[in-house]
Amino acid sequence: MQKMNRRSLLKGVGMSLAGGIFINGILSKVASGEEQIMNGKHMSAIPSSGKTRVVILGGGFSGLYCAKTLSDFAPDAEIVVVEKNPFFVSGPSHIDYVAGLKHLDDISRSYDPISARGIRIVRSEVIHVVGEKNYVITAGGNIEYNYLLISTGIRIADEDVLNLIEQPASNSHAWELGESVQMRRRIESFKGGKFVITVPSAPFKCPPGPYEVACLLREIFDRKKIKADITIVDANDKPQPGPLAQKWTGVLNAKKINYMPNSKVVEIDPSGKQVITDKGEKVGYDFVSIIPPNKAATFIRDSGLGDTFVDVDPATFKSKKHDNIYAVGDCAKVPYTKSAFTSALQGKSVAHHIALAMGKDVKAPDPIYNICYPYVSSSEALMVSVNWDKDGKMIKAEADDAKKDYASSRAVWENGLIQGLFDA
Amino acid sequence: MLSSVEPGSTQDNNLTPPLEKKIEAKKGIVAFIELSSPTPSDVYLLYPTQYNKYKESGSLEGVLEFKEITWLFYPIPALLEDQTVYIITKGEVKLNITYENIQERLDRLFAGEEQLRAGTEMSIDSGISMVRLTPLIPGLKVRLDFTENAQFVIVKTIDLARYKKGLKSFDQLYKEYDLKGSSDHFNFSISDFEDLYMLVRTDKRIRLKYLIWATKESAESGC
Repeated sequence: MQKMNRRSLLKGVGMSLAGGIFINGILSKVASGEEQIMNGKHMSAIPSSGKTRVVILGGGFSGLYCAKTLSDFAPDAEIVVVEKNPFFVSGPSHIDYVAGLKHLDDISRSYDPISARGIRIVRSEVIHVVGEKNYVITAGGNIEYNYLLISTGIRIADEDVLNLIEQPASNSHAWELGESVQMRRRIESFKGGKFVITVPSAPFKCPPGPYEVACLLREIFDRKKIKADITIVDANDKPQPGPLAQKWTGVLNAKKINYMPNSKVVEIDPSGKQVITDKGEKVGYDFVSIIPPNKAATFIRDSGLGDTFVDVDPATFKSKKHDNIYAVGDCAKVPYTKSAFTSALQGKSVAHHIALAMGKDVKAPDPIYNICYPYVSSSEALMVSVNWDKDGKMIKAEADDAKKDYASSRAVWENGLIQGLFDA
Repeated sequence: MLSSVEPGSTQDNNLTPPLEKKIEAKKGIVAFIELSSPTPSDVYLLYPTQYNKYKESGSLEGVLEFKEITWLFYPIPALLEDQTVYIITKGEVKLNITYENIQERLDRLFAGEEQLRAGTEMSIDSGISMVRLTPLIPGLKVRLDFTENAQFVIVKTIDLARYKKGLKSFDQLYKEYDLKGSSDHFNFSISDFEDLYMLVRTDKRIRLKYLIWATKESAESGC
């Protein structure tokens, strides 16, 4: 397999992603730890090893933390991660990237260290799960499993905003890598005017994200002496997540960021440069960042595993339809915040449950909790934490005002999540 | 001004227009406001920054509004900090506030109790009207009661946009969707996080009352 330096690949991706999406042409030139299964459609993609096979769909925080934890609990098992992207990108850093605080190379990692642990990384796209017969249909062929974990994250539902799917170049946001590349470029060339960010109804990935982006943009524009009228058009009745609503309201007010709650954007009119809400209000823009509704991958619904998200028991992450299928993270219907931190913990937790199902002698996992540090500027962050009990009932929540210390904590927090996977 | 009180207690107030009322809920408490009016009234709920803007400019842009209502039941949760809201009404209303401990409510939900989460009774003009049923989460139960038979269909956001744009008609949507009827009541459960809107067609002015009930499943959905 041709090997390519990740830095040069990223440079190439950054240059080629003006259209905002990955293209298959570059997917064949990636780190050596990944396997290609582009041939043999509808045939078995991986020969049976005779071992118990755990297939993990999605190589984000939750999937990889499960893979890594399970490789410790069940070293005799074959662990296969199916991931469509050529390298790992840390979700929380999309915000840092669009605000110019980090480079692509800072926020991504090769899958090589994961492969080095004996975990197979297979690059392909999931098409369907045949739960009754224990196999997954992928673009590159079928993959059989004994246990299946679905951790494919969220899908950006552009089709839920009228005209957006036909006019993708009108929009950019920080919820996907390609879109983030496009958004950063557009921010760098923004000369001033009306900047509109729209927020979908909860739940969505990284709930504080839209407000963080607005605050960081205010800082950038002020520093560059660019006159910008920033407006957040929010489908929710208050800023998200709920525990931070009052903090955000005060912050947005202080930064003179207009806030329009209870206003769900249902249409974009690119020629008229306006977005239209469900109440019929029209909001003009010079730069728009629509965050479309966040849903799970369509194969989940098509495979009868849930609609929109995978139906699971929040205590064990086990599917309500199949005893050997589990789901965690943003694609699962669980009460936990859709954040990188809870995804990582859910990944570790479900590894316990899968190992227990395999008959391994492991203890029950700890309950899930969340902590994160949303930016209010590049040097200050808020803090929010939530604890749930083992059944997913929220038992404690805390929030604190913006502090410089929390911005430092954020860096440590995210680095810890990444290093826990790739450097440990 | 009403001061926040202990969970389980209630307060009654008769309010005459123009009305502004400040309601405060202490941390850990949810204040359920219940408004009733003999004639259709407009009610607005404002958070402090919205209220300040309203006092400065008179603008009610973006605030939570309930048009032409005769009854409203709505929660004001104060999860982590004391929460203040202001109610503004344009019409004569009776206000009742009930305070409950959030954690106790959650415990009862997880134990299987079904709890009224929100409700509204409103007027609907003849013709076709739109009612926003959001925010909805899986596991919620919804009951609709009309004072007369009406034809209604409950659609997703994208089809609301298509309807407003003239790209789809009421009759077309009525054929396409399952949540629909021609009667004076309807019960359904929410299965996913999709925002929903109801289109109602009636040949006379009627009233609609809708009630949303929380369940253990909705509590597990996390919002």
